[in-house]
Amino acid sequence: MLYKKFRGIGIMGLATAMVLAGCGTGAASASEAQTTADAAEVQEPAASSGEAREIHYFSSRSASDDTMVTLQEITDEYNAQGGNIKLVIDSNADRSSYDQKLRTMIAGGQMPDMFDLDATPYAVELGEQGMLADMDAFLEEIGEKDSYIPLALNYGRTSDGKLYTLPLELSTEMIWYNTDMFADAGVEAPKTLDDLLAVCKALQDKGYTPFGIGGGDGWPLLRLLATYPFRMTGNDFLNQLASGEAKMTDAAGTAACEFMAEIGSYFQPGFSTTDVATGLNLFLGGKCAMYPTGTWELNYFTDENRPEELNVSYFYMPVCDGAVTKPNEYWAFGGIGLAVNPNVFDNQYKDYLTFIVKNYSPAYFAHQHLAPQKVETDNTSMFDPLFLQVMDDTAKIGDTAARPWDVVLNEDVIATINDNLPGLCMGEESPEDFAAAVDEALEANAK
Amino acid sequence: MNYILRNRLKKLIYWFVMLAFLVIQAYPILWLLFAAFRPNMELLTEPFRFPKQLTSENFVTIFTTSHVLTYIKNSAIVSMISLALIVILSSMASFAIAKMKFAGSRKVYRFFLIGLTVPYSITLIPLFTMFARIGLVDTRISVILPLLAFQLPVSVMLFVNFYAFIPDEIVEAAVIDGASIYEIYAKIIIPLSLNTILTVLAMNFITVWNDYTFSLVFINSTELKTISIGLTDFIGPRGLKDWGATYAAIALSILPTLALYFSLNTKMTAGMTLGAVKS
Amino acid sequence: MKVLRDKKAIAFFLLPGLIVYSIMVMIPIGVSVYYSMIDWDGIGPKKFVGINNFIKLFRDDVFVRAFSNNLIYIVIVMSLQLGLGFIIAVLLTYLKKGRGFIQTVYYIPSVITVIAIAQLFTSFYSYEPIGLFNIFREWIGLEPIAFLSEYKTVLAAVASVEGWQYIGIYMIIFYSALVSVSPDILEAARIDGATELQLLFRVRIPSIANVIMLACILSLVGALRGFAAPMNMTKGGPNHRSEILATYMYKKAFTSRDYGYGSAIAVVIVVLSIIGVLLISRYMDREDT
Repeated sequence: MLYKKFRGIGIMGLATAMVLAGCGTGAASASEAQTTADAAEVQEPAASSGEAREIHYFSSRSASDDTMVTLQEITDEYNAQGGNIKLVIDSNADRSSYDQKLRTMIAGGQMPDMFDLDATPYAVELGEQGMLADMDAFLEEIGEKDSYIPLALNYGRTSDGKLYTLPLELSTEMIWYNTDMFADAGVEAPKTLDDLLAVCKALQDKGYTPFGIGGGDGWPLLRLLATYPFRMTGNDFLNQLASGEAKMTDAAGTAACEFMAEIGSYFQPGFSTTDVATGLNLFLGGKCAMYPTGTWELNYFTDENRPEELNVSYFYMPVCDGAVTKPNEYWAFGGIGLAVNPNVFDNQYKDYLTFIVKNYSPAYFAHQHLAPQKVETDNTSMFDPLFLQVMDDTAKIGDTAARPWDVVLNEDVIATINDNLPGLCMGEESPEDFAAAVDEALEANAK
Repeated sequence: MNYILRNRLKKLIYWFVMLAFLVIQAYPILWLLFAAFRPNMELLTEPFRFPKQLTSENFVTIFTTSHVLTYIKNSAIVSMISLALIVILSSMASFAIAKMKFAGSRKVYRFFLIGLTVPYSITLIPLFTMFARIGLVDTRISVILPLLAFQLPVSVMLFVNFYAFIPDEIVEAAVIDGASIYEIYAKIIIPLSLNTILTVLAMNFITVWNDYTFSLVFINSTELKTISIGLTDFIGPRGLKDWGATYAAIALSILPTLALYFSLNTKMTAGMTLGAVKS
Repeated sequence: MKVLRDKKAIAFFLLPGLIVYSIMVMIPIGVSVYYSMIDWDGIGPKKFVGINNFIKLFRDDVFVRAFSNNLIYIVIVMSLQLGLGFIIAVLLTYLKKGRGFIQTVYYIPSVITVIAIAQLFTSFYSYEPIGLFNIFREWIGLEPIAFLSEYKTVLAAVASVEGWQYIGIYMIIFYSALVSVSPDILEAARIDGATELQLLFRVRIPSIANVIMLACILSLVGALRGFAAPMNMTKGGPNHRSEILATYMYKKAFTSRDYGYGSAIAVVIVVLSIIGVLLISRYMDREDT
């Protein structure tokens, strides 16, 4: 009996031991993985001594994105010059996952040292709570404010005029079109929004799908919605919507809703669940005549990378009658910016960030991207002609850049717009119903 | 004659249904595995044409731009530890609930059942705050613990139901023989419930292996990320996704699972029962 | 039986699971109940608003839509998983060769990450580029449909994906139960001249009633917590036509940053499922006695 009892306990003991061992190996291998990865990642010159200061950067861009690659390059450079920083990047390129995680971290009192943030109402609130470092003051202090292209830098300004983020890119948006299809339909690149609708009609009559649009990702539809208001009022209507002084049922809003109801009938069927990757490939595969996107996809349209039989060109946002903004004013911005946790922003961190500000743009530019700061170029032979052409356009850009709605308006309002816009485009909802839904959300979220 | 004909017809219909269902279940998976070898462009413009060309370019992408193997290893570690703990803790708790005598055992059981449908995401902020306070964020434990806890209800439900079919007389006889309660659990109950353990393992494996929510929020380091989070590595700016690479990573991540299921198929599936049956 | 009342032993078996469960699941639920009574955006001060969030819920058209959508969602998911799962399981019992292989193939979709399944079906349902379902429709002379954009089809399309994915699990659960019904009883009934259908309804189903009930709970609970398929395929759209409670809760809490309101929706989900589980388990208790 005694023997039996012992064996019983023995088995239980074994089970417990297994549990403990399980946890133990888990933890051990975790730290092991950490150290090996550290060894691989640090790549510091032997010169720097002591523990490297870790800066945790939570990024909304994928690790292979050139912004991340550039930051990593600059960090290596910084350490080679005697710095001692380890940039630990955690990235999640799925935007809704990124937002969820960032918000949970901040609500849970664990703000990352560095993170990506748009100048949204959320940023305003964080700023009001003193939870974001003031970049105006920082750039002033290091005397680098003038190195930035104003439209890139000011893109990061919140509605109350504060600057909490540094831009890492400079992007513009355009609409690409298939020149063969346009020729076949006997149309040219539209100059006005009425032209655009006429072009769509002509293309559809010829049996083409006029627009391939990644409606599933939300933002491409938002941009089209914002077109009329921007042409009619600049960013005024948008800012007034945000502050509660304007309504979607006002003239600019009504024009926007009616435009969407009309142009929506030219999107490919099922656009509301098409992601941008599918939209892009529909266009590249010659299955639609137009595709709206931005300079971050420039690489797909170069002579070198484009499918051989495909001939394309692009146009920027068309104008309308009585437009207050000029044709050379369209979508242009600095991308989601870099924000800094003020609680850890000490001298060492400041020194590192200063180094980034002073060296980032030339390095990023070398990867064939428009940079947020002015970059001197003498040798352009390494760049693709298309890139140079877009760079040339950007140099001639007007003073007023169109601001994306999803940065300015409250998230709940944007969610309402995103939820209701596909129905409007498909003709299932009337422009009046759509405007009413948006106004209701605006009112519910008014302060 | 008529009878034979009818029988034949029946057989024909039977096989038609079985094969049709086989195609419905297998086709998507085969498509998925093939997709891993197709160029992104073809995948997005002509997904259902017979593949014109196969390429290994997607795999080159995932190995050069991502750490898929690390992610898969992490998923395996997290899954194995979680599953072991789920089985041990739920079988023990269920044993107490179903076979031992104490006031409120029914209430404890119901208390467990409440957890069956709590939506994960709403517990994130409380859990995150808790983990941050005790320094558990960015450790494997921070993913294992909630996965374990959220899978306990369903596992306890399965075990309690199975234990209900083990006659109390067996337990009582063992007690009379002088067996301790620990011995009864380890030497009588556990050997009898191997099938249920398999069921619990198979059902929980799916949830644990595919967990996205907890890994997303609690893990920061690349070295600890699991495969479902790793799939976001192939998203470019503004949602531009490299589907070819994503499918390649998915294909790679399901291969171990498929191998496991096919090698264990008879045991695994034969054992999957929600407890014994009244006969 | 004193051994079975040993308090120390009961604690030893029960407490580890109970403690982990209480801390990781029940405390956060408690916190959510508290959050559901505050107005909080995740940064600033928390403002206590009592049951205001719940009052707001019942006046919220989208919530009402999500609620009724969720009922339809549950019906579709449960009938696919339980109905098809059961039929296939019964058919399988007549199979003599190759059962292991066929079972495993039937089971595979369940183990694949829902992100992949969602994308897979987004392309199956697609209109442009033409998806598999629309290729079929064209073969039989029907117009193609954008399944995931049409108001009429989107909810069923999304629910079917979640339903389909887990058919295999229920098929195996039912199969394992069916084959454990004593062959002697079946044989006796056959000799008495019972048809296969009579066997099914008079002998097989009654003897696995318990398993059927458990499967019902699992399926119901899965459908109530359903989230990944609609979120990854349509985000609840267009115009909330595929919105269900879990997706709406997620959007309110994390997209709109209305954390209190999101928590209130979560509390509703938990209460609904507790009611569902209690109803089913009470029914089972009655069956037992």
